[in-house]
Amino acid sequence: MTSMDSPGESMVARAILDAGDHILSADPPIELLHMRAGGGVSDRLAIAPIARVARLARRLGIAVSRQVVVADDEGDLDLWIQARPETGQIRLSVSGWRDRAAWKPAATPPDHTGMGADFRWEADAALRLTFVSPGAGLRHGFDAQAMLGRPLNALFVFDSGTAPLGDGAPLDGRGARLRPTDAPVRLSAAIRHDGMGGIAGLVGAAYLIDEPVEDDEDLALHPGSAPLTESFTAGLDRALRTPLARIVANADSIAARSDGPIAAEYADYANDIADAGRHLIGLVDNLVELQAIEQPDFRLAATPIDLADVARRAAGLLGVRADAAGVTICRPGMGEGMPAIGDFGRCLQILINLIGNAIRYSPRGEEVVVTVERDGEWALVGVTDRGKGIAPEDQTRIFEKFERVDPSEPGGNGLGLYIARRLARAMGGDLGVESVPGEGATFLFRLRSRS
Amino acid sequence: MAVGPDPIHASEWQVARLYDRVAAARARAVARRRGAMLDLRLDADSRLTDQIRFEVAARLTLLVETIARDVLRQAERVMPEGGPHSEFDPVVQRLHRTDALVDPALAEELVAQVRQGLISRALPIETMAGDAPSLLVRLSEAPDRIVAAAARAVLVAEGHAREAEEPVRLSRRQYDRLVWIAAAALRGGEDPAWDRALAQAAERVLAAQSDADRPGAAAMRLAAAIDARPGELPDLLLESLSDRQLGLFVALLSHALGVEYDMVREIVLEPEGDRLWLALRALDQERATIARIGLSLCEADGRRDVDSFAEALDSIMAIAPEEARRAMASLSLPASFREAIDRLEGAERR
Repeated sequence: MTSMDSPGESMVARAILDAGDHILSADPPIELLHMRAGGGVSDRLAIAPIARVARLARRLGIAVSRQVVVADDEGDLDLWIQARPETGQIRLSVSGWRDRAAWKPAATPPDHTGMGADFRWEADAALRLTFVSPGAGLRHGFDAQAMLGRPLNALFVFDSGTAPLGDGAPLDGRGARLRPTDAPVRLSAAIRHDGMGGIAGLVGAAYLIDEPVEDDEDLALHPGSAPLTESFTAGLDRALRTPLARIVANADSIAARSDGPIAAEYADYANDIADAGRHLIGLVDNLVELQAIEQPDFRLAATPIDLADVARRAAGLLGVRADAAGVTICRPGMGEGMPAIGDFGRCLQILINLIGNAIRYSPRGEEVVVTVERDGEWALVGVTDRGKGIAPEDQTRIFEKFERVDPSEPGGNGLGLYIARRLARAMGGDLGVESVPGEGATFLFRLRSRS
Repeated sequence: MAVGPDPIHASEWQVARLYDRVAAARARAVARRRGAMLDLRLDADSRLTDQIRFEVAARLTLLVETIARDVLRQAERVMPEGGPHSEFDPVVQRLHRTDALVDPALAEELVAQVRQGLISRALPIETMAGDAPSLLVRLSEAPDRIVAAAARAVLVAEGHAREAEEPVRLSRRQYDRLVWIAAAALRGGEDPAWDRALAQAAERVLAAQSDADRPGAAAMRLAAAIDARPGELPDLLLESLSDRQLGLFVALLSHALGVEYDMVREIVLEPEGDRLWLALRALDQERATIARIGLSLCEADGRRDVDSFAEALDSIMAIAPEEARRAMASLSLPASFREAIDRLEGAERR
């Protein structure tokens, strides 16, 4: 979800300011930002970080390029600003137009810092090597010093035959070979940007890999197909949950500055660490659960429950989160009942997952509607949101392992709906979705009813 | 049978040694108090950031360990039966504990190197030449073979300086001092034969050190090889900054001003920048060049204030190059003379 009519990353919007920072002309995206920041037609440029760059360029008398973050209605935008003084005016070009991503696992940068890498390398904008770890040549059989200044492909042969950066994306675990020795490597690299967001080079790391054996390769490429054994998940649980809990607790206390004042940016880092830690704990929980429910003989308790009551409780538990998101939950009335057969705790888990998703994908100010109804021998709970909906071709995919309704959305790990459906089916029921793209989605959770 | 007290532990608390323990504890308390007082007296301006403290400490440890290991290895070659030297690790700890490593010149050098690295890595990159290779790569392909070789040497030296496992580069005088300190720490009481072996070993280690290892040596050779004409200097200065080659920037200025590398590095690293603007005016640099250099350094160094730089720019430009040269003249005097002047004048100002 973009928070404004995003002009797209490649677009450059322009504006001209007079000597007093008033807008003489501006492309719509800049005008829109200006108005959202409270600026009127004849006012000075109201977007403070951009105005600052413009003033600096005027005072120094040179072009100033800078990356800035601009607060927008619903989120922040990452922008590359260039302000160029020209005959008393300032010409602005603004590119980037990226929503600043909240923390999400998909945004994890490649490990270009080279933790655990066999060696590190850097290349300039012309993809000439400007740095290769000095010890690398000796260890891996090439002359590292002679590589300096040479093209990147003098050192690496890329598997696909294409040069990196062809698609403007950073390298992330790309397969290649060392040209001097033909040894296989995996390469990670981050793109280095110049002041206008252009590509100024690559900062990379190389990991030597053993010659792949067919089966190994398969396993490495499809980690999802590896069977989850009980001992594996139990080990995972033990090995990860305790240290993660400690990391989260410590990061939280750093963020809360409980040991004294620290710079705001460090508190933010600590918040990021805690968020990432909580995400991982959630993943561990889900993986452990996955192992249990993927057993062929997995069955759940079949006890009489009231689905309407379960739905009300789930909605109540998510009230705070809904408030924070500016979303209202309409839940079944207190008088309503919907007798069904199932496991109380698991039903609550399923509905928390469904309502939580609905809140996440609802625009601010909208409603999430939770209804119960009877359909012959079935007791149904419907959870409806007014989000952007799910395309027909995605309606099957989202119930698969590690799939997301919207992979670009922060939060979640792609296991929730998969587990929810498995649980529903293990109780003799089912979970499905009905959606028209653009008009929201309704998730229907059904259980056998009880007369 | 009752278990007796641990004999080693008991000996630490022998009645005869209790006085020593009390005295040592008192000394520690005094040292702590003094440290706290010094710390509290420091103004925010001269306080090092945690990152700089950490990097300086790490570099110093690595340096001392490397030197002590080299000396020990050489001494064992001279005296194969080995000396009465203690374990290697306590040697390094001992050097740290005693004040043997407290040396203002060494501290200054290490802090300057760390600062230079941090600012270098934070410099804003501008791809001035579009898709063309970066400055050093282009220079390493220059038709002038001396320039090409010198540029290649800078690329190599930069690579070495970047890897954490490389010890730092020091001036001859600082290196000499550290080698002899390491040798002294490797002594084991009065043992003339081992002392002689250590002395020989230290001399061998010193002889292996060449002037090429001096900080900034490679960049200085490149600056000398380029020997930029006044018209070429602005672009080279700007491109070295946008290429994040702060060492080369310092060397180019140093060569153009005829002022020692260390001095220019100090001028470039100081956050107020007063002497840098004067130096650039002494070289008759234009407003746009000085503005770009100032902007880059402000973006890279959080201690600098871009607004007050912009404020001062017109006044800086009003300084005539001749006046700037006169104000900077004392910088090109020999370092020892300068230090002596600083000491005298500093004492009189107090």
